[in-house]
Amino acid sequence: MRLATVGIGCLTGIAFGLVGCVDAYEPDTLNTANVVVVDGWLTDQAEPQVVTLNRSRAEPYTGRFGTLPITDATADVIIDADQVVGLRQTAPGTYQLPEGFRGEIGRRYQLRVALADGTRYVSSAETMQPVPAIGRVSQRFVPLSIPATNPVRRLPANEFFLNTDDPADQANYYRWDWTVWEKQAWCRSCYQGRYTIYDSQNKLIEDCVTDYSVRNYADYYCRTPCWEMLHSTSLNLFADTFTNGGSIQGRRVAQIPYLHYGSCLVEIRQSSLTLEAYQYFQLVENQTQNVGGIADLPPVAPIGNVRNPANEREAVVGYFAVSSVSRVRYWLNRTATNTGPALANTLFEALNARLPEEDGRVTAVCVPGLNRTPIRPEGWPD
Amino acid sequence: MITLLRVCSFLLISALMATPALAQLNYSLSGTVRDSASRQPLGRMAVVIDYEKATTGTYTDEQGRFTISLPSGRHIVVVRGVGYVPFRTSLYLRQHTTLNVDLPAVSAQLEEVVVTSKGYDRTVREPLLGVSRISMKTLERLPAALGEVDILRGLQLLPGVTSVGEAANGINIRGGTTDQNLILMDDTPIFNPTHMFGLFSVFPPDAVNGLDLYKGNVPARFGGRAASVLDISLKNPNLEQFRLTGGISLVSNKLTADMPLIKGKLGLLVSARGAFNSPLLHLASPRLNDIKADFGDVVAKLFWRAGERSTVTAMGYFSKDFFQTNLLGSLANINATGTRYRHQTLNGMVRWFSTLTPRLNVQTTAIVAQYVPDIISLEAGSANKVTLRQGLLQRQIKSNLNYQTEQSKTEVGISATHYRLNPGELLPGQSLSVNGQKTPIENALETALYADHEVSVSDRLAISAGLRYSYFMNLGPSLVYRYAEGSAPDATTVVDSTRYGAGAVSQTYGGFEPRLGIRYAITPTASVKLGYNLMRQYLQVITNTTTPLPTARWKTADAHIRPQVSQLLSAGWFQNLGDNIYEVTAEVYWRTTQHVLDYKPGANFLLQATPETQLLAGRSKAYGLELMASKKKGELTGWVNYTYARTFNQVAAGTEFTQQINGGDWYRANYDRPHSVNVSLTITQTKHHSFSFNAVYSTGRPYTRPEGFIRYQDRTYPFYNERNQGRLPAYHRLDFAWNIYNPSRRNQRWQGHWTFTVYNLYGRKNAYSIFYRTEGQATNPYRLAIFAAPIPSLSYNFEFK
Repeated sequence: MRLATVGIGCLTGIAFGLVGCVDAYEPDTLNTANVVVVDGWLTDQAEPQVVTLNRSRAEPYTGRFGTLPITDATADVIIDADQVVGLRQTAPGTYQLPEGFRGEIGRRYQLRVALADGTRYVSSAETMQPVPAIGRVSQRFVPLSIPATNPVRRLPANEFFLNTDDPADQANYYRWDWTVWEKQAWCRSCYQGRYTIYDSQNKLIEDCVTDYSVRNYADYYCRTPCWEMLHSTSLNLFADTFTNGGSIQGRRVAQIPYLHYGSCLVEIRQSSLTLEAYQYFQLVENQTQNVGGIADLPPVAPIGNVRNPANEREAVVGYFAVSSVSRVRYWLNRTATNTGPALANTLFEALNARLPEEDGRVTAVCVPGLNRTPIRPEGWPD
Repeated sequence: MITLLRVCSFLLISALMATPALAQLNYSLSGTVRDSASRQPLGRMAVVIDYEKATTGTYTDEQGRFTISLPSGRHIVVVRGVGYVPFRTSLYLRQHTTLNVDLPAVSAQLEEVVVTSKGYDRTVREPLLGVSRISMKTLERLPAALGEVDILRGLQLLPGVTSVGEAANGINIRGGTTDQNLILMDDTPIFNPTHMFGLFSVFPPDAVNGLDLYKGNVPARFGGRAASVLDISLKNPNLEQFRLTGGISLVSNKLTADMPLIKGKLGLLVSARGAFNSPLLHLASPRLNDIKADFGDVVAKLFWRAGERSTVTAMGYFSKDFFQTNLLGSLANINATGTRYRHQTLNGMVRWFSTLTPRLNVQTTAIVAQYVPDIISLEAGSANKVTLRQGLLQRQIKSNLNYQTEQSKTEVGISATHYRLNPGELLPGQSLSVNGQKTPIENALETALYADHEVSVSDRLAISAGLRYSYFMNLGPSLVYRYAEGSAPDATTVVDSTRYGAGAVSQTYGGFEPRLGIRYAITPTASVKLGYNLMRQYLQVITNTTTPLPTARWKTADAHIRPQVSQLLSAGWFQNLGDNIYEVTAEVYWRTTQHVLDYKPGANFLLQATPETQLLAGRSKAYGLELMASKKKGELTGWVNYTYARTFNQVAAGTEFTQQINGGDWYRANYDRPHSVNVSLTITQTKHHSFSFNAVYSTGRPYTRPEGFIRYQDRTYPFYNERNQGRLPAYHRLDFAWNIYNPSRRNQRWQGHWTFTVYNLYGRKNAYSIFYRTEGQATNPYRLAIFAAPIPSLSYNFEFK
């Protein structure tokens, strides 16, 4: 057992009992999990409707945690218990509904998956709930906002707040997420290597090739416009149990880190959940975010609404959720509102904690993915 | 450790005395040492000068005489011998001097440590098993965290008493949950035993007379909880002499006044304690700006000797807490910027005692106890406060008749208790969005008839037999749902409902509760004991947190929630040694409990009208071995104990995955700590001061550790599966206390003493919990420790007569 103490100051006297003392700690690990994780979230928006499947398990020899995409599965969605729409694998472990497919409020959706080895999984049928429109959105610069644990401090951020009117005629469950687009100038970093477009046989590579003459990094500018996308990393949930029909005022829905001085585009998403989906995400929130107090809840397996009908005892992680979404995009001109220093001068420095070392020989492509896009986001000024 | 102590005390004393070190003329110091009671001279008694036995010490001769030649100046003289209380003095030698010393024998001393018995025969002769008595004098000398004398922390030095950690809101006794202990303060129940969420116990130390902990045999006069009874008695007001005591510590200030109002007839005792630390905390560090921690308690007791044969006692107790800390969560689904906790207890008791004949007396008591916890949410964007209020009101009347002869003692009694529970109401204040909500009030009546009989059959055999019959009624108005047979209670499985009017009985439970204790004396100083207990619990806390929050919900048994029934079998061996200076005990027990509660994943009880939909019923078993050796008299007093104890639960409420915990197998309870060792020593060196040490070791408590990680929604989350399969690192700690008295003022009206304590002397960071928090896309493990460094504190206590 190794103990890693980081510089988290502990207090003296009575303060101890009231704030406790939190240290980084490395307990003996136990890596026996081997579970299927299903992540499906169908919306009513014009966007790719994607289900991802992975197997999260430890490597048998090293015990290190890893995930493997589950490939070559067949998946379909059953709408209102009669109509079946198939999903197509677009990347390993990523399955997508046909282009242009959108969910509709009031309809019931159920996910069916069959793995290549024949194991079948099925979700419960989820009904898409309506969501009210986002009302006023405001933001405020907060110099000490996002808690960082190592070392202990709070990072500056722009905090976003919204108002929305909760409908009185039904129980509503909300989840808020955010995405921020930042202009990215650097598309690739090679460690002890150089970016190569074509190899000596003139074969297209577009990748790093080992070259020990580079002692550390070589960094490459983007060939085309490119945007970095950062997403919310914590769950933000709300039920109208105590406030049904009331107005939700000043709900904090985002903390956009003040990484650098440039402007960025922020999207706030307000999603409707079913009671069961809300309970599932709340369970995950309670045992991963609301922890470290003196009265924590006993954590349990994060089993959602997907089951293996042939083996009810198999723990299947994740939830097949359907949501109506209302969203707002906000152009954040940081220099206009923010006082105090940003975390770094440029986005590159903020994300990599070093200065770029330009190679300059070639430029790199902007590879689209979860965190990067070459497509100008709607709302980004020309 | 003793050597270390001597070095310490030598340094301290020399510092106090400031001995001049100049060489002067030699004078003789001579005298006779005698036994203080028999006046017999004592031979072979060591006379030690200035702690340097080797160079300047001597021994008394057969006639108890000694002579020693010393340089003039100040000397410390110690006379000691086996079996006698050492004598210490300091004197200034400027001529030939005679010093006659009378030493009291150790066995003639009053017991300093009264942990297990009031007199030696109590432990060995009493048929009851597993009764611990601890005197306030003992507790006051123990090293206390932050200088606050604390009953619950003191009890954890006894075998079979544990907790989940330093911030535990209650104690676990022989595998019982915290709410299975009936905590009575002058007969009134205490529902939340700690201030500042586990840091200090709520009992005002200066008003407490003593306490009895029944963890084995419980007399039939007690009922309503499944594991144990902690019976705390408050001091009776003094009818003759005015007395004022008080103290100042880093945490709180306290004052107690004992006032005879009519000499010999009527007396009043008032004791108050207050801690108002919030402003200090804010001064200490800006990090503590969001922390609030204030508490107070006050107790008043009136004693009236109404006549030759009857007395009336009245007691009132009020306690209040107000705190805000980052260690507690907030109320979900209130859009709030901060959360505060406030809870208060208001108890009252009136007792009429009357002696009918010298052998027969009757006692009638009326009790009321009210506990109201609040969670206050500070609403975002306004100054409004939204309060979630709960409440528990218990009213009880009981009467008992006692009959005593030379060989036996009999008590019969009757009791009726009414419970009125407010499970939760949401008070929106001026909120524009929060709607007021209310869960239905619960009413219940618990009645009991009991008889206890204790008899000495022969010199060797004594029996204590008790029988209690309890009968419980859940009363309307209420709405009781009926769920489909064989399926889990759930909103979707309701098949029917019945509405009960005010006072209508919706459900009853009841049964006999036999209690039996047998003592057989093998020799006059050794005995074996056997005990059996059955107890029924109709009121319990429903909570799924590590330790119950002060705001945890109390629930009476009802149509769906059955009372807990616990059976305990215990056996013990008790031995007094060395003229009753030493006592050695060994006890084993086996306990089973039916209908314990566990919870469905994600269960929520706040403002929940149908808590049965969130619960899973199971059972629990516990067993253990407790060994204890104590030295009750002499300069060094204290005890050493070892406990092996296990507690397991099993929950298989149905065949479904979500109705079982760990697949229906037995799993370790949160407070299952197999090995614990406690050492508590007090060394009374002079009338000036005493030193105390506590050394504590126990196996770490179980916790649920991840069995790996999962990648979900672009974050890495821990994957939990089996409950409580991990264990925290072992807990250990050493505490130290130095009590400084001022005996030269002993006969004056004002007496003061200082206590310097260091809790957790070597600063071990004992883990209260290990948890995994998801931060950004990653999940990081952390350890939370409560008292993670040596905590020194100084307190001053005084007495004015």
